[in-house]
Amino acid sequence: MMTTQQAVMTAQRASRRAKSTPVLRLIGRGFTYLFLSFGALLMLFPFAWMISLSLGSMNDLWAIPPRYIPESPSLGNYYTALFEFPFMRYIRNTLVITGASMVGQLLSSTAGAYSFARLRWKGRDLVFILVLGTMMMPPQVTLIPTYVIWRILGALDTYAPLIIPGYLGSAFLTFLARQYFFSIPLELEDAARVDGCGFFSTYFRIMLPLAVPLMITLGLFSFVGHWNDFFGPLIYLTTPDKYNIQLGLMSFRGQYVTDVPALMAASVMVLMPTLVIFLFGQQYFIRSVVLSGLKG
Amino acid sequence: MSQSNTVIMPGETTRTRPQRTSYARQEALAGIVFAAPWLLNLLFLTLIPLGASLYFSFSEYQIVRAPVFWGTRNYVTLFTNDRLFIKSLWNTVYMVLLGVPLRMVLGMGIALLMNTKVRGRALFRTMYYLPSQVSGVAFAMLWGFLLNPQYGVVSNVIWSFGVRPPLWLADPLWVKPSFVIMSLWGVGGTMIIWLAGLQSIPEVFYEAAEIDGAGRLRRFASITLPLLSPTTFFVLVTGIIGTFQIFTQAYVLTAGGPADASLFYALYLYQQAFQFFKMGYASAMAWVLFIMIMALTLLQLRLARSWVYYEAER
Repeated sequence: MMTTQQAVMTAQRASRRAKSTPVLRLIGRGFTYLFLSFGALLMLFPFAWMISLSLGSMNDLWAIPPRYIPESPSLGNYYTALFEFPFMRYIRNTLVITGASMVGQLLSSTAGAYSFARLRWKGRDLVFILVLGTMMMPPQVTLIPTYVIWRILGALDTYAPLIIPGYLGSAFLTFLARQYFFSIPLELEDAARVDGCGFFSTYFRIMLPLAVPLMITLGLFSFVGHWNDFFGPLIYLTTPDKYNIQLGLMSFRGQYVTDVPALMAASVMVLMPTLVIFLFGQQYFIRSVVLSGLKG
Repeated sequence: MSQSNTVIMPGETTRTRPQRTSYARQEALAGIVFAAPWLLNLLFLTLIPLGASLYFSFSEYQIVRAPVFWGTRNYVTLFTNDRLFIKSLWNTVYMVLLGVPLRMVLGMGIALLMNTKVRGRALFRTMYYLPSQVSGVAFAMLWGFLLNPQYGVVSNVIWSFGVRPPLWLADPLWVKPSFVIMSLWGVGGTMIIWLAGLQSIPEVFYEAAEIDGAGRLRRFASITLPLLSPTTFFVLVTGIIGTFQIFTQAYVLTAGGPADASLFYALYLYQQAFQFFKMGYASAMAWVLFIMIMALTLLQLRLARSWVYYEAER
């Protein structure tokens, strides 16, 4: 409890503060906006430069003083990347790998999450800790034997090593799904059980239909992960016809070393899908990052 | 998660006791079936490869012939007779020492500014967060152009001040700072985590402190920093672990050069394994990395007890 004397003192202090700050606060605000806007410009500039270059030509690049807006903008570089180079095939390959693997990732991760969140069995918590442990483990520790296994199975230079592991769960997606399942009221499952629903129909008829936002989140993460995957395809794919989009961009770079505008156009095309997905699905990404970063 | 506790508890009591044996057996069976993909994963993609990799690390193994056990030779060579390994270790530690603190301070600074009830915060947040989502070969290529000594924007801007810019990726002294600059573009990734941490601090703490006459700095040092320490801890650990995984940028832009100045740990490991096919040697490198990361995590967990404030401990 505050005595009256204390209350008066704090009131005095507060009023002194209030009197001295307006001007300072205004200046502070101004600096905040100035700094944030400047930083935001720095962040966005590389995108703008990339798009501008992709529409221009080498002349714009070498111009003195530097020309940041092309003299005669055209889509010619995009035409080069799309039609004079098998980019379409690389996009198709990537979509095949992504589609096939994503189905498995979503099913196995949500199934595992349902088990870890809702079903009680011996050793469950130990297994879940191991699942989380795989996230902390540097991938290189299991990389070489895994490569050797695929080699023994004769699956090098096929999509199997890139697709099949998806069917065995992904730690991050499982973790997100488990958190999500905790937010579904247990009463729903209990009601379903009273109505004679088994565990499998509970999963397929109650949990999955309620988990549409979760599935969207997992799907976005899975898509972006596959689209940007460079290391897996680099190790497992050797035939150029089978390349995914990242390896495709690499070999495009090898052939058009000096044609910077064409390389920029290709980069824009490779980056665009993930940027668009991010802009539209922003809330899903941010919520998950926050979920995994705070008090896990 | 606090949600989970409140949700689980009622379930524990509502589940019926009498028919426990048969029901519990069914539930356990279903639990194992649903977790079956993960059990297979842990066995075939984690535990067996872990064991195999440990064995390889003590063997001579060049993939075409079966591995031959030869004791600690790979490890001894790594630390006593491989200049490039030590170099790659140092290059990576350099990246940690320069990059991680810079990204932390910058990420926290931006988050603090954004947390001052700025108008258009959602827009700012998007603009800062967007670049952190850019990765892969296109990211590397874009930065290769931005830092190009002849036509790159960064050099152009420096020239306009009448200063001669460095050769960036082509200069052994500047190649690592160049990679740090690239990584600063992704600072939004940590900013988002700081922001969430800041927003979880109850406003009443600040109000109480203000009534007690605490100034802005005092409030930051006595409320914000201690309450953010779990976030700080998380960002630090993931920052270090992430730096040891730097690969694509270096592979695409410098292939480890010039003069091995950007030969990072993950890149050198890749070269040993998939260019020279020294699978045993590369496995030893992987285990050294694994042990370093485990030691780091344990050490930080222990340190965390003394400087990280967790709400539950109150």
